[in-house]
Amino acid sequence: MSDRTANRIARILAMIPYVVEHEVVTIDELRERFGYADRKDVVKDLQLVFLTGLPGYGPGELIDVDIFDDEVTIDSADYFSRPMRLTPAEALGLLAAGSTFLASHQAPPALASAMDKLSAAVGADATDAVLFDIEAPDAVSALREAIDSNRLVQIGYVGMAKNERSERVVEGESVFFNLGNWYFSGFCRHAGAERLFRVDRIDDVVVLDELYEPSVADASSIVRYEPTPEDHVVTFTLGPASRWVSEYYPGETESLESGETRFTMRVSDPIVAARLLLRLGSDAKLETGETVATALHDLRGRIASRYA
Amino acid sequence: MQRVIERILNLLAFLLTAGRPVTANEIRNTVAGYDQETDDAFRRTFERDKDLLRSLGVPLTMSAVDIWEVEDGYVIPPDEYAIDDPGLTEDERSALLIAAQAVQFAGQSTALSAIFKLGGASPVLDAPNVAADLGHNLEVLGLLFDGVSSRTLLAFDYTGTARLTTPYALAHRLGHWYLAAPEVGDQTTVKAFRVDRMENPTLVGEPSAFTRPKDFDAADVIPSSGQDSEATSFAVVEFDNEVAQIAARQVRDAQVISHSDTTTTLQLPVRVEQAFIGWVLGFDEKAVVVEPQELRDRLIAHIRASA
Repeated sequence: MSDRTANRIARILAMIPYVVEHEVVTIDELRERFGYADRKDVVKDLQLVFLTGLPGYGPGELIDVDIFDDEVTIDSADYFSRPMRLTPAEALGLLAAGSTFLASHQAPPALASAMDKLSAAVGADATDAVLFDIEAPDAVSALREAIDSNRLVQIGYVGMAKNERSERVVEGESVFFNLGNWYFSGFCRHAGAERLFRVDRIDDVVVLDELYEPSVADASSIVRYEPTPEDHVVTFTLGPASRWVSEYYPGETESLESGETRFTMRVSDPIVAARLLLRLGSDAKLETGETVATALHDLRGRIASRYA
Repeated sequence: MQRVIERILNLLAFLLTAGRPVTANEIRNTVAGYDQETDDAFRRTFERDKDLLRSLGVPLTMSAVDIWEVEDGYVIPPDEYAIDDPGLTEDERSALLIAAQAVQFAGQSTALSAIFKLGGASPVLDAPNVAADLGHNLEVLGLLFDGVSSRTLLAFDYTGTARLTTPYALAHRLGHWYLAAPEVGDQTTVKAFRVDRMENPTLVGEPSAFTRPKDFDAADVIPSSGQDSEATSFAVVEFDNEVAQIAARQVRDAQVISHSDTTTTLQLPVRVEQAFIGWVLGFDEKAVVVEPQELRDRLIAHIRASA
C-alpha cells in the first residue's frame, strides 16, 4: 500500500475531529488548514467519509457529512472526534523543532505556550527524557532583524582560514543552525560574492539604515563541502585518541594493523589541515601532503616565536 | 485507492467502538470491504491494512478474546488512539508550523501529519527565514524516542558489539544526537551512545520494562563542550585584538584583565587542559598563554611533538 494512501487517511483522520469540534467550517478553510492543493480534493475526501461508518452501514450507522452552501458539518462520528495521538517520530520532530526554534531568539511568542501544551499532551515521561542543547549566540537576533527588514548589516568577522579580522557589509539572506554551529549567509559586498559566516566568529553586528533588494534565490541551509580540483590532499595517521577526526571531517579512513587509522582528507586551504595536525600533537602523523607540511612548519614557527 | 480508504476507516471505526477484542474472522464477516473470496486474499488485505494503521500511529494490539485465552483478537483502546485536545490557539498552531518547516532532520522536515493531527494550521506568509538542521533522520530518532518515552528495552550494535540497554534519555548537543542509557546488567553506569554510530536499533519486549532513577539528569551524561564542568584552574592568555572578542565570547566566565591598542589579556577558566591547549592553538600565533608557567610549558611541548 502506498504512502499516498497512508497520507490521505492520516489527513482525513485529522480533519474529522476538527470539523466535529467547530460549528462553522468552510471548504476553503479546510483546504488551507490541511494543505490540500484544491477544493475538489477536500470534497472528494469528505464524500469518502460519508460512505464509512459502523457495521449495519445504514443511515443510522454511517458518518453524516453535510456540505451545504460551502459549509461542512460532520455528525455521528464520536469515535473519530478526538485528535489522534502523535507517533513517536512526529512527537520528537515537533518537540525538537520547537525547542530549536525557541533557542534561535526568533520564535513568535506563541511558540513558548504551544510547546508547554504540546509537552503536556505528549506526556511528562517523554518530555523529561529529551534534552536539546542549542542555545543561539546573541548576534543571531540582530542578524535576523537585519534580514527581516532588508537592511544592510556591517559585521566584524574573524576568518576561519587566517584568523584575520575584517569589517564586511553584507546583504543578509539567512541565519541557520547546522551540525552544531550557527551560520549567517548573504552577499558580501567586501568580497563581491555569496559568503557563509560562522556566527561564533562574528564579533560585532551593526544594522545599517541602508536597504537592499533581497535576492530571490533560496538560500541553502546546508553547509556542504564541495571538492574542487585545486584542493590540497593530505594523508595522516591518527592514534586512538584522535579517531574522532575521521568521523568529524569528510574523508577516507583505513584501519591499520598497528591500531592506528590512516585518514585522507581534502582541504581548500592547507592551513586548515595544518592547524588540525598541530592541535592533535603527537597523536597524529603527517604522511603525505607537501603543501600542508609547509603550512604546518610555518605555523609552528610563528607560534613558537611568540614563546621565545 | 478509494475502496482501500473506505475499508480502513470502517475497520478503525469498528475496532474503536467494539469495546472488546475481535477476531480476524469476525472482522471479515462484519466490516464492510472485507469481502475477498479466498482466505488468502483476505489475509493479505488484512495484513496490509494492519500495517498501514500501525504506521499512522494507531495502537493496534492483540489480546485474548475470552478468559480461556484460546483465541486472540484485535483491540484499539480509544484512550491510546486519541489524546485530549491540547487546546492550541490559532497562533500557537502557526508557531508550531513555522518551527516544523524551519527545522530539518538530515534534510527532511517533520511530517506535516503531526501538525494536521493537532488541528492543522494556515500557511504562514512571511515566515521567518531561519533554518536549522538537527542532522539525523527522524525515523531512527523516533524509534529511540519511543524506547525512551515508553521505557522499552533497546538493542543495537555499537563499536562492533551487540548491546542491550535501558534507554533513559535522548539528547542533542553540539551537533550530535546521543542516547543516555545503562546496559542491562550494569545499571550503575549510564553511557552516552552516539546515535550516528548505532546500527540496527530495535525495541525489545514490552513497554514500562524499567524505571528511570528520579534524580537522573541527561545533562550529566552527555559529553559537553566542557563549559558546564567545574574549572580546575585558570589561565591568563594574551590575544591580539583582532581575535580577542570572539575568544572572550566563546568561553563562559572569561574576564578581561588588561587591554592595549594591540592586545587584550583574558583570564579564562581551564576545564580540560588538553582541550584548552587545542582551543588556544586554534588562534595560531594570535594567542599566547602567559600563565601559569606549567601550561605554557605543556603547550610548547605539544607544538614540538607535532609532526
